[in-house]
Amino acid sequence: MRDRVRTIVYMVIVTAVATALMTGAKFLVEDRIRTNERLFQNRAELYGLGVIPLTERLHPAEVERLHEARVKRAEEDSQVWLDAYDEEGVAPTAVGIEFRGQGFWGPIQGILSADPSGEKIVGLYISSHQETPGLGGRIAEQEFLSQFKERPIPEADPEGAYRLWQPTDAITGATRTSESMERILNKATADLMQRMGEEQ
Amino acid sequence: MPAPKTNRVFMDGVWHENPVFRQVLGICSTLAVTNLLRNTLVMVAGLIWTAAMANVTFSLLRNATPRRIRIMVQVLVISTYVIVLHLVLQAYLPEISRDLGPYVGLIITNCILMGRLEAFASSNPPWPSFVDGIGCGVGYGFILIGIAVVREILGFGTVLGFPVMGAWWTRWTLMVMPAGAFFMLGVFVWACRRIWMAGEGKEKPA
Repeated sequence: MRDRVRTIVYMVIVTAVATALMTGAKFLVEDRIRTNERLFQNRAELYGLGVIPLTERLHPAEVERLHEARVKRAEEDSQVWLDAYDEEGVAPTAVGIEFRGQGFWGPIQGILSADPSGEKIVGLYISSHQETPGLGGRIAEQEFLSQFKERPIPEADPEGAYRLWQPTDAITGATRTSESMERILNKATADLMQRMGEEQ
Repeated sequence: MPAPKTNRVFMDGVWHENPVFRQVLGICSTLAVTNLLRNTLVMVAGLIWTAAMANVTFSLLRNATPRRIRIMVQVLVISTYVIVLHLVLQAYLPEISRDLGPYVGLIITNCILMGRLEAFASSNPPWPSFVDGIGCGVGYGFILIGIAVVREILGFGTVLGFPVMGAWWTRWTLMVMPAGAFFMLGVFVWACRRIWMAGEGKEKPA
């Protein structure tokens, strides 16, 4: 009986010390992690809205400044909509949607944007995915994403679907990821065009 | 029991009891993170840190820990260091943390860590336990790094992202995929056991 009580007390103490260590570590870096996440999100929105080119690596302060001045974010029924404006923050330069869909290994999330007239794509960025690094994971690389820049948005077909994917160079060896991206982007385009249609 | 010699303990982890090609432990991460050298280096550093610190901690607790709950305590100690590592990566190396995704958390389940705590730290003082953790981490690391260098060169034509093969190189898609890691691991284990260990004269075929 005494042994059992000692064992329980020992385990409680060890657990308490371990929990205190983890909590302390989290407390020390929590702000920094939150700042990193916000910075990553803001940078993703700037890329996705075509405000900065995908090759541009800006200082964190510049990312914050640009985002503050040129991007507006709105959430409706858990769908995030984004608007980009010119340097003065007056004239709209892009309308974007934050999309999410199922990839080969897990969810793919990103931002797709069109010019305010809805004629062409101005930006595409993949902010998170779980595809195979170096294979399906290449959907997040500039070489793949830049194919969509300035691409004219096609007319909707009789079923109301937008075939934005054509003509895209799919990723060799990652057919399932490419198929997922085709589905996700076509749907994101349809949602984006519907929203722009409603606003006009 | 006299404390084992530092050099001997270190070399046991690196070579004589190498966790990957002698004990065939830690294979999941060997397969998962070795298609890019950068990710592999972070994973190796993480494992060395966790193995060394968990070994020291459990060695300090070894006489006080009731035998029936030792596995629970070992898991708790390993988890604590892995979570701290995960937080540090998220705070200071956020891009690598994103690339590694769930793999950092999965260090907790790496059999090498539990194996060393149970086999070494539970019956040795803190300093040799620390060296054992470093040795096993290095032993695990040099195999992973070897596999990663070959996979990245064949799969991407690069090392740490820098092109080394030129534009003429046709990427081996297989090397980027998990199956490529199986082949490379098999080749490395074979090479270590059959070629480099041949002179030892004591290794029997598995």
